[in-house]
Amino acid sequence: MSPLALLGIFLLFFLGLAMCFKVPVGYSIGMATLAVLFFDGLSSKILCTVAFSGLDSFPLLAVPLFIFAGAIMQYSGIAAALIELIDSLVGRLRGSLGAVTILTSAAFGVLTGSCLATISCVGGIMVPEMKKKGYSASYCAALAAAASFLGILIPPSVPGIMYGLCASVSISQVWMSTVGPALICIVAFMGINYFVQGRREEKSTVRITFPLYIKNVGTAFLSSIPALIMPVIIFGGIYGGIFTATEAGAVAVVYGMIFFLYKKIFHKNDLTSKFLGLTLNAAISTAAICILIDFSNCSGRVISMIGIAEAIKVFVTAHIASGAVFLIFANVIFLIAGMLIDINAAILLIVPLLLPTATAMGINPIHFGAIILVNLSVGFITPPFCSSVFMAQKISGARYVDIVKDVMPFVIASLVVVLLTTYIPAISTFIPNLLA
Amino acid sequence: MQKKSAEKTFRKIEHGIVAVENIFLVVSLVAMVGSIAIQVVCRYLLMISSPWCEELARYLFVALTFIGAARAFATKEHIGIDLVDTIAEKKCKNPQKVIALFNKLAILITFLFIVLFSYLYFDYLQSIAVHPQVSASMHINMLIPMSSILIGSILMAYHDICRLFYSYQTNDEATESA
Amino acid sequence: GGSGASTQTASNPGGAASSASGGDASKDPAVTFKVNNTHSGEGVQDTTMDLLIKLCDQYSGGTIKGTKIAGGSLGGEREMTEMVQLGTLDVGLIADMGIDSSIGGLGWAWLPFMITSYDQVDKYYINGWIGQELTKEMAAKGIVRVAATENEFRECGTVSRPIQSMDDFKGLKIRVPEVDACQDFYKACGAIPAAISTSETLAALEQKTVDGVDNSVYNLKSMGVLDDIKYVTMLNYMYSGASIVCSQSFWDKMTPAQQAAFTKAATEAGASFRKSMRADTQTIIKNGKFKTYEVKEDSQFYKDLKKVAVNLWSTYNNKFDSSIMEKINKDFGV
Ligand code: NA
Ligand code: NA
Repeated sequence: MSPLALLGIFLLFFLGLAMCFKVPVGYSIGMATLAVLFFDGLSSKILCTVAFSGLDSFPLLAVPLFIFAGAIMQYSGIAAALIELIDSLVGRLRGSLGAVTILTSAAFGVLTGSCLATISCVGGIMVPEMKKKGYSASYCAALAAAASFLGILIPPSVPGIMYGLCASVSISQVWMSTVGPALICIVAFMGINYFVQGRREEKSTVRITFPLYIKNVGTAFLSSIPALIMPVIIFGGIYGGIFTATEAGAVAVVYGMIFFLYKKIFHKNDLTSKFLGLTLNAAISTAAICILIDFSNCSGRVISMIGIAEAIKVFVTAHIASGAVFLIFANVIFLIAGMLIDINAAILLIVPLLLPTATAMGINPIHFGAIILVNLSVGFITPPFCSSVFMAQKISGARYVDIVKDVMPFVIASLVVVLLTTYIPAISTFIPNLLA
Repeated sequence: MQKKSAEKTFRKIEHGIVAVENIFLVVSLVAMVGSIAIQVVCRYLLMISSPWCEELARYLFVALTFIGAARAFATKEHIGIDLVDTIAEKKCKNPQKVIALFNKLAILITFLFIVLFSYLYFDYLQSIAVHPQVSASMHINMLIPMSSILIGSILMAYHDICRLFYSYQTNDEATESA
Repeated sequence: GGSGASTQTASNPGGAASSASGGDASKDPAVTFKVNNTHSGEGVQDTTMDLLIKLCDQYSGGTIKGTKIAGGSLGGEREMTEMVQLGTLDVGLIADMGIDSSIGGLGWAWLPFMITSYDQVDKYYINGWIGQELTKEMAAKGIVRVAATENEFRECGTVSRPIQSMDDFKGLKIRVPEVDACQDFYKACGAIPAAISTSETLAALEQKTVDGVDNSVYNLKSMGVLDDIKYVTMLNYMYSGASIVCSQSFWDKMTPAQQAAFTKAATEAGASFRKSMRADTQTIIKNGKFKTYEVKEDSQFYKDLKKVAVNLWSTYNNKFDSSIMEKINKDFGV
């Protein structure tokens, strides 16, 4: 069978099972892979080889480690302290709760590498607060969902590791490449929040003196020091030559454990979960994500075997002359992938297909990585498959369709950021170059 | 009445298995963190090499993923798309019935896949056993870490089919304990 | 080494002995194969896969058709070996160390300071008893070794200081692959071998998590670390061989005449591989910003290194066949 026909079979099985029959996404990918193997007459043993060796990879350990670290931070009161700090800084602006949600999601990004950890933690605290202040449930959900992908663009991030792995480039450089786009997103989201929500709000009439403001910020700062030390440890350790990006995950967990123990002894009330419980939750979340990664690995391998990468390379070199046009083509593929599947699965599937062509066209792999990561992060809020919106739906109780309507301005702003990242390489390469 | 007590026994057995899985997951996640931390300490502070740490962490991770994925069936924590539910709620007169039917179908399809995968993986382990591989650092037989995938798959099939069984027993979703 | 492969395959139970006689394969039923290697991008590995496909087509009269799978897209060497073993991949270009990481037992072939010159490589590894023994051991594990490529000698690239004496090793953290002989050698020299995954090596070097990287000059280049490395000490402490291997099921699918054509093609492709890689290495050294340091055979440093290395050999005595260890001591001992 021709590679493209097989790709069609793969998509048919995968989307059919996942969307029409509610089969868990990872298992749908696994079944679609088996179907391709069957139609092409390849041995199913390939699936088994990759099922083990795809997970048997050290950098992949960052997934459980950063999920675990995020869970400890979430349940030990660190996240709440972070929200207080940002509230003390910008809490008097109009539309302030929305701004706090955006900034805290970004700040929470330095604690965790997972978008869903960000939304469940920050959204879980902020959505009820916003609702109390009169924000509509669907807007709260849309805002929390949109802000949550900032957690991926602000390092450390699991998808950044996945890309570094697939492209064999430095993970820390990949991480730094999405900081620029993240800053632009933050400004854009704050603007949207002001226009949608802030303009409607009354200006706060409670007078506050400058010394009191400083005092409030100072108090909040002190209680959030443990959260602020975390990035210092992670990046100090990586750039100070003590540990690698993957090992940083373990160090973050150990730091979190020590902090948790301290809280347990001195401030028991701050803890919202038992240690064993949160460890178990982190392990199960890890498994739910990694089984998906594993079956995506299998499908990626099988897709390589049937020669789709070569077919795409031949197509692109025959029809696309310039790097700029190729990037449009690539962006459309990412956007479609981001609409349909999980970010980690998408990276594992697409990077091996497109990166060889991209490098052949003279595109810097770090820049290409930033484009992929920003584009696929937007995928968290582009319907129909938008994990952040699903999660926000759970937290807010709003209807899916209403959230999708309210999230659209954020989607459009994010797509503009995708275009900027694509055509102004400096946005993504400036910070990595500065640090190199 | 007899149906009810059979269900009770089944749930009790599953509870026991889940408890064992929970212990395994917590221990392996903490051990993973520990072995990577030891690697950093060995290299940076003690100035000695410890290649076994990395390997141990990787194999724990494989086991954690597959046993954890099995455990995730017990509390329905797998990542899925509930587009069907949304459509059913909007278009159907009796959405609960349609959703329940699709749930059963999803469980059944997943079950068939897992059983097939387990069979293929068992077959694969048998061919690997013909020429045993030994791990690079700890020098253990690779069948040990590899078999965690088979164990996990069998547990997945078990937990998944339990859901199907319970769905015929009671309509009470709330009895599914977390 | 043109005639090498035919002597190697002669010890292969898969009917290779008769294949050495050759014959016309153009009337045979057509067979197809898929070939892969673990290096991504365009390099010697990639062009060799193309050459192998071309030559197979030519020598078989069009009855052996190959397709190339993009390099590096099938995972690491352990997996690729396993796939060849299971017959899920037909042909692979794999380092002998990589094959060993899956099947084990081959480690005697790269004891430190065993082979130290290309003359010895040709005499013992490509055309001599080492190659034959490897072919035999791989055949016992279901892998048909058809011809030799190579990964050249292993050197040590460093950032902080060049390695010019045993004292320079002290306390250096060197990224070393998970191969016992490599790990043991650096440990014995007083360095700290660090197990860092390939994808994290560049970052680890840039951030000084490690002080240096162990590999051949060609592979240091393809790992992307040569822009950061300031000194390369040409330790030449270990020859890293590599092979063109195929699965037993693919081998058995071919007629004797096709097997001969395939062997001829692989042997030529392998020889071309070695020639281009050695030439490319010279270009890399000539154009590189790093400084290279030779270890002269009459220097004290060389004698110290060799002494440390040869002392290690006896620690492998109970791991490998005693007759092989005897041969090693006879041919390469001091
Ligand atoms: Na992050
Ligand atoms: Na999406």
